[in-house]
Amino acid sequence: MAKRSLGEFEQLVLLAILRVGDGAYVVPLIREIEDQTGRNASHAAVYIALRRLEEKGLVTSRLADPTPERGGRGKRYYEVHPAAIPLLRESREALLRMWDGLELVQ
Amino acid sequence: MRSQTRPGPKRRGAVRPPPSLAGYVLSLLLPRRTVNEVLGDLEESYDTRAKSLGVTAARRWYWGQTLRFVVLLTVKRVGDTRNAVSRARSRCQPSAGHPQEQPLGRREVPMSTLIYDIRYAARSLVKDPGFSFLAVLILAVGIGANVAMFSVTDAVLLRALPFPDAERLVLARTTYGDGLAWNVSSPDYYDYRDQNQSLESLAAVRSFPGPVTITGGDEPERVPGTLVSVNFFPTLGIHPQLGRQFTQEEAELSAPDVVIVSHGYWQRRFGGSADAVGSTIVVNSLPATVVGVMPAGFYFRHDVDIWVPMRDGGPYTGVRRFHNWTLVGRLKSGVTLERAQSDIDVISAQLQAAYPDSNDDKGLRLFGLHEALTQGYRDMLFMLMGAIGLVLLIACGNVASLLLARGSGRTVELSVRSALGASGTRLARQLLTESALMAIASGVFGVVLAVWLQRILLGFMPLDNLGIQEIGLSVPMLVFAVLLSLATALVFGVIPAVSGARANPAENLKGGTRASAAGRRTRLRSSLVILQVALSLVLLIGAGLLIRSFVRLRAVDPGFATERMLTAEVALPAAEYQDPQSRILFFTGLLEDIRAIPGVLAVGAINLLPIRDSYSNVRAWDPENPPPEGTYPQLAEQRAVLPGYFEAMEIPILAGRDVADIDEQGSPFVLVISETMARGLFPGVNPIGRQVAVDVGGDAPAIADVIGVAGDVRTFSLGSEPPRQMYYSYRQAPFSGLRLAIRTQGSATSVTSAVRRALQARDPDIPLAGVATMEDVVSRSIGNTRVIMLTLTLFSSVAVFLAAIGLYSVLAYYVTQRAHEIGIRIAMGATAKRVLELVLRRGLALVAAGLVLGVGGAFAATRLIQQQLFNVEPTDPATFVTVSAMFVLIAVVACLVPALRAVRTDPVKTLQAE
Repeated sequence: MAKRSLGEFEQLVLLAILRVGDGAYVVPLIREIEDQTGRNASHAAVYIALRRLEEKGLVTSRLADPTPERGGRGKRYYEVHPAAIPLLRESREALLRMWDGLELVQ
Repeated sequence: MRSQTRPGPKRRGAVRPPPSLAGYVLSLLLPRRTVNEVLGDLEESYDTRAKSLGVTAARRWYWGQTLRFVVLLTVKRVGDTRNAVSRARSRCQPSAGHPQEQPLGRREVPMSTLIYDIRYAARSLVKDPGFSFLAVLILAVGIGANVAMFSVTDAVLLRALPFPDAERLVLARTTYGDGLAWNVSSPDYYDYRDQNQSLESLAAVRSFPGPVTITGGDEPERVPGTLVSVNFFPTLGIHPQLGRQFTQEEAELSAPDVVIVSHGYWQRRFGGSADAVGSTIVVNSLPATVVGVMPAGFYFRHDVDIWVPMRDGGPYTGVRRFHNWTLVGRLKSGVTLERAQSDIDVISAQLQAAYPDSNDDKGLRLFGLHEALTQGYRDMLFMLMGAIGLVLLIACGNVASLLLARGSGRTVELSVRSALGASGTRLARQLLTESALMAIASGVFGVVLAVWLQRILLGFMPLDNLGIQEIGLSVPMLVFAVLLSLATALVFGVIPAVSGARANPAENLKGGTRASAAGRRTRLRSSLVILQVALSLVLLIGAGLLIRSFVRLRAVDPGFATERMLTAEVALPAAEYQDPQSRILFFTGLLEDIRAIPGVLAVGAINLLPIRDSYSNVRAWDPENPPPEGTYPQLAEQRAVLPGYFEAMEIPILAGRDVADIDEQGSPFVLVISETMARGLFPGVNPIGRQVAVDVGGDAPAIADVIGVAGDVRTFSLGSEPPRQMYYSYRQAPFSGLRLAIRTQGSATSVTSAVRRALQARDPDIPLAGVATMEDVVSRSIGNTRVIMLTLTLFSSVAVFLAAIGLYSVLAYYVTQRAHEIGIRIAMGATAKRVLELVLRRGLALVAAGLVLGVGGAFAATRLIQQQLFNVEPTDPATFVTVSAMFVLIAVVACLVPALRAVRTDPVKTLQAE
């Protein structure tokens, strides 16, 4: 039956929010994902993932006042909801269990 | 806090902003509340990239990101809808053990087939990038051209005029029996204005015959000016942005001179200062007070910088027979055009009874203003829309054909899926999704292309009546693009989809290329090619007719020399040159000076040059042979010339003499008349020495002696027959301005500066205006015909090219399919000629069928362009034959390539491969 689980990209986005900490909006999130994984992340993919996580109640956000640097447009800052932490932990443990004993595989 | 939707402060630095079109697409697509933040995020990344990688790379990146948004948001939205539907369903059928709350319940719903189809389609398109690119390109050109054409048509025909309650505005035109003219006389105007019950107001407007001269600034200026009744602006519903309208008192002849100026002129002359209102400028030598400034973009039929009030008893007023004013009115709220017309008809009947001399068969007809202003474009735009629609159909045919050809490569794939349980509908839907995806991609590129094409179309379409200079992106245009893309997907996708759905696994998986499905597909493709040939032939014949007509039009002898002829105009300020004698002296002296310029062969002067300038006509008749009671004498155009005009223009004097210096005030009133007029008034008689009566507005006509007969001149356009013309001596009718016609030895423009110096030496305050070569003047006069011809030629070339590609690909496919058979034939000793014949016959059979269909279609369709044709019948056999022959030639070339490949077939190899 259905089990609450996270997609891989959703995990990356959640982890990126945690790593960036205060001031986590789309641009630093993308930078963090790209820096840490070496993968390209498009604005659209991150935007959609955040929408989805918000719908699931795993992420909260607030709109900040516009700043002149971005053509005067507002920023949305994200925070990880506590409900997401056990899910992240589960995903990590599931992966680690699957890897257990396979250290030789390179 | 700042408003969220405002564009915000100016960007720092000189970084070019991201592509606004992409931003626009995003803002349409994203939920409104997130548009700002997403654009902000994108812009921030864009700025970083622009600084490190350069603007071009950053812009490309921005477009890439936009495209990803388009795809992902579409997928998400479709998925959301599906989820909502299935959630609603599962609520209706609660099952035991199903969790009550499932906020994360997205995953348990199987991925909808539509998303699956889209992903699958995207993958299969990416797998074959060459094919996808070609198909998208062909469709994007088709869609882009259609969207561009639509946006122009929309702006011209569908969008309301930029006046409040524009649907209540009407244009009133004079009717004579069955005839229709633009203008109305001022006494008639006053009567209709004061007596009607159904119009809120009725205004009159008339351009000055040439630009008005404004002095008092640094240099004398020549600007376009218009006389308007004082209620003109209120009728249109537009108020000055600065100052005031004209007042009722300013319609009186005794009122002080006032003007209203355009926004553009206010900026140029007054630097946009509020002090402009109340200041004085000198208009045609008379000081006038500026009372108002119109807002930017105000436009009614012409570009105008100065509006001068129409005065009762002022210029162009007083004579019921002289029609000088264009009337525009505003219907009272709730009054229909029909009701207003019957109201007007009552007044017309009264005027006819009261003034039988001038109003005998005269009436006034009301038209919706929008309809009246767009009348000239309507047919042209619809015709071009139709033509470009055909091009898209042909493009669809081509892509359908490409898809079919590819379908045969995918037989195995489809058969496997069918064998695994996919139903025919399922496969058809899959294939349709692929088409839709391709069409959407083409639509996106098409819109980008359309914005660019639109500029080209507007560049050569004379839409000046409406003041349309720029259209840009509009919502109707985008809606049209979306609908067109989807329709396109249906048109080109349906045949391959149906054909794919019929995949028969048992048969196809057996292998071999001679499956019957392939045969069916070939038949489908052949019918597509026949259709393409037919459609492109219709277009090509249309273009052929227009080219022929254009060539004939160009070859028309206008009756005067156009080569190496410079034209210009010189207007004399009325105040300084009040004495007629001073005008005559000025011009005769100026002509002497110009004649002395090296390189000038001859120079003439006339008040209105043919084709270039408007005309003025009055009634003229033979006083010894007046028209019978109750009929009107015919109209004749009147012009005033100085001696030497006919020689300079190379208009032959067929009998008698040119006007001369002796034909001056005090000596008998003389006329040179045109050949047509001579034949009309004095059939079979020598007209020299006869007299002509000319209606000059008074109670009695002026009587003039005919001293010469000149060759006919086409004065209105190359396409219209020469009217009756008569020429006065300028010395007897010294108007304030004359146009110059200067015949030169070398190129016409080589003497421009010398002419300007000559004029300056005579009077530094008078500008040389409207300098243009006669050749330009004549080409511009047939510009409309040229636009239609060039556009249709372009469209039909694209169509023929597409049809040739279609023909080629079908035959190439045919040769591949028949490689086996051809191999055997060659092995059995068939000659190269036989094989060539085999393939060519096949191709030309398609062409022949297409030709029959196309010629038939053209017979029906070319009637639509009859109005655009000059001296060419819409069924002109020569054009039909030539164009068909040309088409056959192109078709043979397209067939020859695959045919030659068939000849080179190596029988051993083909048979081995089997």
